[in-house]
Amino acid sequence: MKIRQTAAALAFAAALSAPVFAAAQGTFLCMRDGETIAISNDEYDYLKYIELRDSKGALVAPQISSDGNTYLPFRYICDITGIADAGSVAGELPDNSYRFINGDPANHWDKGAIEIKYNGAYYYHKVGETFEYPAADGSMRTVAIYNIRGTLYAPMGYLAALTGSYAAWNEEYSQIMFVSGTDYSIFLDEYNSIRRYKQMHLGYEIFGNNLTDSPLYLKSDGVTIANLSDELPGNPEVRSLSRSGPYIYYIDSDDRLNAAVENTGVAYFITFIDEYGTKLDIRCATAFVLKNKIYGIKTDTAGEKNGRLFSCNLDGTGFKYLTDNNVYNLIMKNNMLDYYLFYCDSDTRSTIHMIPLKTMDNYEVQITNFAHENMLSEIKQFAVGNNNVYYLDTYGSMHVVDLEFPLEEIPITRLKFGNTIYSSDSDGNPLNNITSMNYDYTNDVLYVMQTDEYGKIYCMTPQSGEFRWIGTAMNTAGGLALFRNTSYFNYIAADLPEGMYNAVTEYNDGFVTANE
Amino acid sequence: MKRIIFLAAAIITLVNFSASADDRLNIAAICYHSVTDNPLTLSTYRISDNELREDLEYFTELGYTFLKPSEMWYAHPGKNMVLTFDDGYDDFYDVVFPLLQEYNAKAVVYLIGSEIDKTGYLKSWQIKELDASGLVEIGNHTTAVHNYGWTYDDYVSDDLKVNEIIEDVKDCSSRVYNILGHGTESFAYPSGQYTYRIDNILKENLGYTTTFTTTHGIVKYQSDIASPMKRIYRIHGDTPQKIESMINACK
Repeated sequence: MKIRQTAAALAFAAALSAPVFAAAQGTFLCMRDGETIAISNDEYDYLKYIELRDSKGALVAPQISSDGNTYLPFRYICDITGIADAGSVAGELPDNSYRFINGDPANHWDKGAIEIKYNGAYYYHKVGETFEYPAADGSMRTVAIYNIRGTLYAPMGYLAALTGSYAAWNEEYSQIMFVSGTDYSIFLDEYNSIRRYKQMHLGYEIFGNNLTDSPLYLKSDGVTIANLSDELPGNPEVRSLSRSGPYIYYIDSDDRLNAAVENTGVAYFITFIDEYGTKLDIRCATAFVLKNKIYGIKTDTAGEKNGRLFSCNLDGTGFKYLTDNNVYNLIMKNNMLDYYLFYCDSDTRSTIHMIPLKTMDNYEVQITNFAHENMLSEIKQFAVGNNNVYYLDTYGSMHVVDLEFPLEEIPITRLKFGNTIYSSDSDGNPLNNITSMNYDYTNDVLYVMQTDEYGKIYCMTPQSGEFRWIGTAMNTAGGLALFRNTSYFNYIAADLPEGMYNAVTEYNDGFVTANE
Repeated sequence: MKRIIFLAAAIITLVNFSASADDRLNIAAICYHSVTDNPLTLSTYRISDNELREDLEYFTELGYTFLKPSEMWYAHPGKNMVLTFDDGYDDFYDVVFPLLQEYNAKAVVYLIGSEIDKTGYLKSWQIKELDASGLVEIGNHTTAVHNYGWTYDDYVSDDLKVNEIIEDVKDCSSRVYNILGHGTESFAYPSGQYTYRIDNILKENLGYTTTFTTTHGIVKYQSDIASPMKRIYRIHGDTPQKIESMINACK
């Protein structure tokens, strides 16, 4: 057996000196430790989210070992790099294939082994037995093939070197990138981050304006604000927009969910189908796309804002409820690459819930004083900032709750000083009758709109601690739409009945400027 | 007569002295956190299933008795050990519990109330099964305070925080009550941070019979059980022999 290992090592060294390349353009994967969803590319170079499953259909996730080596699901990587499973093939292993060999408990070897033949070179490794390989940085890594609860894991760098693939670690986002094939440059920008926009779209990077009734969205160029109503035949009423690749998801005037293909004027109804294959007649109070799922609030009648939270696939299949009771004000927040759903409970109107997308656990947020009295009541709209919770009550007053930690990290908070209710702006003018709010998560800025006459827009940062008037939207009837573009400028727009917008502002280095 | 009285007094003193030496319980409480069967995720406080197996094997062979905290007050002097598992990770059910059953060893798992039923932590149905097994005591590790990172100084300087940890212990116990029909009577201080004031309240007002800190040491005498008890950390890479030597050094 030792001879075979030595032979494998020699073959591997030979493979390194004369690298072999996978044929044609490969599959792009961008993954996080422990997550079963990866970013990949489709045939049109649009980025898309995919579930990582091995050849047996089991959900798998990349893992980073305590000693810093990245491990990928072996069978999955073999699938995308074109190494076929030759488990049913007897005799000599065909080229570009692998085979799992069962263990032999009688000889104290019960974990099995894998053998790989790639471009004529033969590799053999016992599962759980360490071996060394030269990493891209020149260091020797001690690794092994592991069987973790039925899934084989192999070191990423080893697989990349063996198959001529590209493997890298994105420090900024703690992401693992693996590209089978050689032409990986088209997926990356000059900083080796995932290239965005134009050729490759990441839906979640473009904020939909889910808190509002606005038909506005950010075009795929990342700069231009567009009006979806203007792009569709008959200029239908649309709202609650979000994007996945070229598809703009929206709710129509009958509260049905649709998807329009950008720049084509084509739109489709989303038909909801549950796990039993039953078609469902569903209206939505709000809905948006996040990673490879649609999340929304299902209602029975048009115009209703309260209903059960649901999720489904992008095509409407796999529909299921996430709550038993009615909820409202569904929002999404991200903390780096972790995403969270927040909603308010309709029964109490004073309880916020949080669902981390990574686990889909449901946390009841508790924000109380030390006497355990709830600091939230009569919530109309709310937003969750970096260390704050902002909420607008049904009487038009703005409440700011200063938390010591991000809410998504510690959903139970006891406050020493309670919450702050703002009754005037920075100039001492009354701040009441607030009808709408929205939150810029990138810059940590809260925008609210007061509609005594027209839409007066104010902004507040945690640092300033006061609401500053930044402009008035003429004849404004709708809510606040909020966007950001690739340069991290922020655009805010107040919706108009005619489908136009104004009061566009830019946020840059702490300054908000109005460009009406 | 004086000599007889002196001799009698000397004998009584000797008997008392030897009795007090024999009264040493020398209970070693071992502090575990996570135990995994995934070789990629081992860390200081996440030991492997094989390491726990080695511990159980070794100390069983040495004749140790594995107690639940509730049994400590009735422990006999000798080789006693309390296996404590902080935080209530789900690997306690998946990895630890089968090993406890295999070695018929008792243990306590300290739950964080806010994490019950959450991913990576014990689920209600698992907690029920663990409790019903008779091998596992369900302990209290607070509901939210565990995540606050409060220190001794916080508790000394801020009465609100003293009040909050007491309320939080009650909250965690009520969550356990909703699952099991009974609350908790053993408590492990988050990060081992405690004050005697808090400990007195827990025991006198809330009826806790045992509390643990993370200060290094063992429980020598029965009277030590009345205070926050010391523990010995079991970290990845240690051996049972090393733990034994640490226990002996504390005696």
